[in-house]
Amino acid sequence: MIENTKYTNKYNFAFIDEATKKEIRRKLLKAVAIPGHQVPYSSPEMPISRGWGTGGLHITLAVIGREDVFKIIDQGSDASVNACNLREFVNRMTGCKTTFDTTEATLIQTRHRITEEELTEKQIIVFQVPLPEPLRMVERYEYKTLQMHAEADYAKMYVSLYESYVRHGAIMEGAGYPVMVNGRYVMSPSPIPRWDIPNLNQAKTLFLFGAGREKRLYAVPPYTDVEPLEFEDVNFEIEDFSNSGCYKTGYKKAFLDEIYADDGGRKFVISDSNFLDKKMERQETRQYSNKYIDQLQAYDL
Amino acid sequence: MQPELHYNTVFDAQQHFRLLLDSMSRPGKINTFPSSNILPPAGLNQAAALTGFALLNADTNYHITVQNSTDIADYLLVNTAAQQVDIAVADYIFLPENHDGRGLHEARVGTPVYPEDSATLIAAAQVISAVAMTDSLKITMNGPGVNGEATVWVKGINPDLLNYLKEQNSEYPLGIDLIITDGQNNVLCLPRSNRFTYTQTN
Repeated sequence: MIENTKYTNKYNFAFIDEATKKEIRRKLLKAVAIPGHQVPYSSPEMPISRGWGTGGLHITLAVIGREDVFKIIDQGSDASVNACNLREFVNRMTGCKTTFDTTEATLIQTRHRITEEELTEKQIIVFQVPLPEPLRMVERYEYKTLQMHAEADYAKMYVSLYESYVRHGAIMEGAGYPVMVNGRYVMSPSPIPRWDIPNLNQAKTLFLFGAGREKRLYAVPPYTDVEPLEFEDVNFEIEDFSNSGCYKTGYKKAFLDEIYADDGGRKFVISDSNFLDKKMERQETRQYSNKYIDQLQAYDL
Repeated sequence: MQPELHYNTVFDAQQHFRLLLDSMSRPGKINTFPSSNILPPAGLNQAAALTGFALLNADTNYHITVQNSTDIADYLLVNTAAQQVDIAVADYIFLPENHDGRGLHEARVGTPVYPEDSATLIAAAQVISAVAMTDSLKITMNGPGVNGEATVWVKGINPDLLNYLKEQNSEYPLGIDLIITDGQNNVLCLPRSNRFTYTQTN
C-alpha cells in the first residue's frame, strides 16, 4: 500500500513553507556576502507577533535541519519565558534535540546576549533584533538612512556619540553599541551589552541577525573586523564588575545581572545561566578572551 | 521530462543550503555535497544542479550562458519552476567550464541602496582542490570569513572570469557573488567582500 506521508503532519517541517524558506535563504547568502548590510526580507507571519523574536525565528527555521541541536537564550537565560516558548515551538515543528549546554548546541538563537563561553566554527548564532537601524536615533526617515548607508556617511552617528560624551562625560550607549563591520557598514549588534561587543570581532562563528518587525536581516561572517565606534582620545569600554562579583560563585570575569532585593539591597549574579550552572558545578569552561577582558584581568579579578 | 525522484525538496534543500551558507561565510573552505542520484543533463554538473534546486523557485529566475541550453532549462523548470530570463535581469547565472566572462557585463550588480539586488554566478569547474595542482589557478583569498589567508587550486576556471569579477566588485558593496562547483560535488564560494589574487601554476 502506498502510504500518504505528505499530509500526516499539519505543518511543513520547521513551520515555514518551502517557498518562503528559500526566499530567506537567498537573502541570507547575500547578507553574508555584504557583511553588516541590512537586507529586506518577507518576514512571514508566525504564531507569535512580530517583534517578539520572529526575526530570529525566521532565520532559525530557514537554516535548521533534523540533525541540529538547538539552544535558545533570552538575556543569557535558558529559562525565561521568551526562550522557553520559542524552544518548545522549534522543537515541536522540527523534532530537533534541544539543549541548555552551550558547547553541545549547533544552532543557538539569542535575545540580547552572546554566550559567555566561546562559540566554535561549527556553531551558528542567530540574534533577535528589535531595531536593526543604528542610524535611527540620529535620522528618523528610512529613505535617508538608506542613503546614508549607501554613501557610508556616518558623520551624524559620530556627532551623536560626541554629544553624548560632552553632556555626560562618557559615551552613554549601554546596550546595542554601534559597530563598524568590515570597515564599511555601521551596524546595530542588537541590544547586547558592551561586554559582548568585542566578541563579535574576528570570531570563529557565523553571526546572523533577524529583525522580524522591521523586516530586515543581516550577517557578520566569521573572521570579520567588527570595531565599536570610538574616538582617538575617548575609547570604547566594557562594563567593569571588579567591585561586584557574582553572589553565588564570587566570579567577576563575566557579564553580571543586577538583582534588587525587597529591602532595597542589591546583588549580582552571572547572566549566562548555563555558564553559571557550569561554574557552580565547577565544570571546565572556555570563555571568550579579548583585550578588554584581559585589561580587567590586569586588575586581578 | 519528469521531476527528479531522488531529491527531497525539504531536507536535501536544507542540507545543501547549509553547505552553501558555510561556503559563502568561509571563502576558501571547500564543502562537498553528499552524493546524490539525480541525473542533470549534459552541461550542468550535479553540484550546480543541487545549488539550483536549493535556491531556485518560481519567485526567482536564472540565465544559462551555454549554447543550446534548452535541456538544462527544461530540467530546471520541471524541478524548480524557475524560468530562464535575459542575463540583464537574472538572479542566478549558470556558467560552463572555462567561461571567459564575455557578455556578463550586463549582469546586475545591485544599486548603492540595495547592493544585494545583484546576480549570483554559478560557475562550473573541472576540479576544486585544497592541495596544490599543476596546470590550475591558484587562488589566494583574504577578507571577511577567511582566517588570515586561504589558498585553493581550481582547474577549469578562466582567469578572465576572475578579472571580470574583480572589476565588477571594485565598487564594493556593488558586485557579484560567485559559486564555483566541480565534477566531484565540491563547492567553493567567492563573495564580493573577498579580496583575492590568483596565479597560474604550471
